[in-house]
Amino acid sequence: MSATVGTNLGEGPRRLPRRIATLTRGRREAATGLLFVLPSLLLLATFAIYPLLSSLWLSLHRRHIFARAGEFVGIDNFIVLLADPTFWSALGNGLIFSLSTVVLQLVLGVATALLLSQAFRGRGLVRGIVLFPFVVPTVVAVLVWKWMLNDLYGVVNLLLIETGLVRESVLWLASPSLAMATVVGINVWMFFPFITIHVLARMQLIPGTLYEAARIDGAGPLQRFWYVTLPQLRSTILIVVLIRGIWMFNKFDAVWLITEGGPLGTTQTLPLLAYLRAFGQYQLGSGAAVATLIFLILAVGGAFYLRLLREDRET
Amino acid sequence: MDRRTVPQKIMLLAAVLATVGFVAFPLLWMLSSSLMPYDELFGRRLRLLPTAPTLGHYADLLERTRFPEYFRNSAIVAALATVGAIVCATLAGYGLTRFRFPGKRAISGAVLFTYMFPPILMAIPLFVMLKQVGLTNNLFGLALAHISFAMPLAMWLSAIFFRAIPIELDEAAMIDGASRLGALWRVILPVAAPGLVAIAVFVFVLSWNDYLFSLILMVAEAKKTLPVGVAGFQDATSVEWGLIMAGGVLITVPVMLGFMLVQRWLIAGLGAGAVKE
Repeated sequence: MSATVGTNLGEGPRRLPRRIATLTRGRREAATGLLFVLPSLLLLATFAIYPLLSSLWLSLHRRHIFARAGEFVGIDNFIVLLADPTFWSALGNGLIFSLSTVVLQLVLGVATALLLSQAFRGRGLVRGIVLFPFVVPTVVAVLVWKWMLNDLYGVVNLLLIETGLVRESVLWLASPSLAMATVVGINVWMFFPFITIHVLARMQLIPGTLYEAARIDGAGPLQRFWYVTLPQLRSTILIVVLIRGIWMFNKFDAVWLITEGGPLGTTQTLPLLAYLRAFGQYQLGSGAAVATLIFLILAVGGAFYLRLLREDRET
Repeated sequence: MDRRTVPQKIMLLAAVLATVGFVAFPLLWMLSSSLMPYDELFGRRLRLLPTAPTLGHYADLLERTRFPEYFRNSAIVAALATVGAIVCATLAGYGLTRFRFPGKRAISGAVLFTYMFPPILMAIPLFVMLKQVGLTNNLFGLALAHISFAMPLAMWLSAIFFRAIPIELDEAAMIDGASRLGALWRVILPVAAPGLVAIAVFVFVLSWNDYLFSLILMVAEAKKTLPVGVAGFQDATSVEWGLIMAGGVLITVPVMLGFMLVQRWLIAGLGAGAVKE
């Protein structure tokens, strides 16, 4: 990270007393360095930091999407939201959605990594293929699954009927009791390779001698997994779970495209609610308030998780 | 490695085949559906492959829908975003790894932090901002949004790539009389090129795949990009799944080609969330 430049390059005034020379050199170096980073910083400031602050500000206003300015209402938007059952159900849906997708991704991701760490012919190819779901654009993945799960012509229902497993088509997305499970399933399919990649990469760093030793001590495959592999993967898994948790909680497109929050709001999560408030009901302030709450929940949850992580590392 | 017994081998084979089927079937199904004539698509009989394959859906897509327009818009936006992000990220990666300056730590921290922003949190004020300056329904405006969205990742990867290039190279070039920028342009860039190509591909794919920002910023039909445009095909009175599947294939092809190009860096980039996040 820290690169030392300038000491033997002959930049900077040579004849100055040494201390001043290093100082000026240091300052020049800093200035040049900043200059290189400046365009990116400006972009980030204008299009990331400013929107963040502006979102917080916007959440304190009542503002119609077509209005030129809003009216300051203090924390009214938040009060209204917290009294609204829609908010609480969206929060609940979001928690169910992110927890279940993360857990299932983890199980499937680690299992696949274990499988792909075995030696077999064509392993490289299979490793590439396993990335498919993650690489395919979200829109495409969603549309394919919607087509496959179509109640009249979808291949999944036709297959289930043909094999006699069900008598009538399953309404995967139209039934309020099934929709969330279907949305979770599709998202697990899309995102588990992320965990597979990470776990696989980490597994390659586990020294083979550990397995040899375990084998000599008479450990079977399950025991080797439990006592050798898993402890080694622990920190990777904890971090990956954090990242995926945040991203799933923020997920908009992969839920919206499947159900638009329906049926009967059973798959409406917080990002969808924020979008609907801002661009469906044209209440930018209310939408920004939802978005702000998402951010706060993530910040608190993330800090708490990181703290647990640190304690875990210390003990 | 042949310590496995026959049942073990069979189990392994079965597991591998099941995994491959699980990940690949939907995509093969998309391809197969895109080639099925109407009566086979909507025949209510299980059919895995088209018995009379046709390119009809592809022809319809190009002639009867706005797909070509969406495609053009997507390509322009992704190209603009890629060029913008790669220029900024190159400079930033170089700056971050070659100089010492106060606040460098803070910058790296901030980059990771912005990375964790809920996209919807950025999208709402971004809409307000771009609307004020007349950049909604504007390809350049969307490209700006994509650049800022891709910037943390691009900067971060760029710093990783530049860190791997020994600083002695800069020093040698500058002793030979090259200026800072000269050294960067003529000596360092050629070495960094493969990594930069990888970043370019990731930014391109991020932009190409983006749904949320396009949905919010591009309302005019003539300005829509592929993801929003093709998803809109579902709103038709009778959903033409053949058409949609053909569209899906055509959207996916450039992405797959891009990733094949940068296979070597794929894991690093994907690991950093280069695709779906």
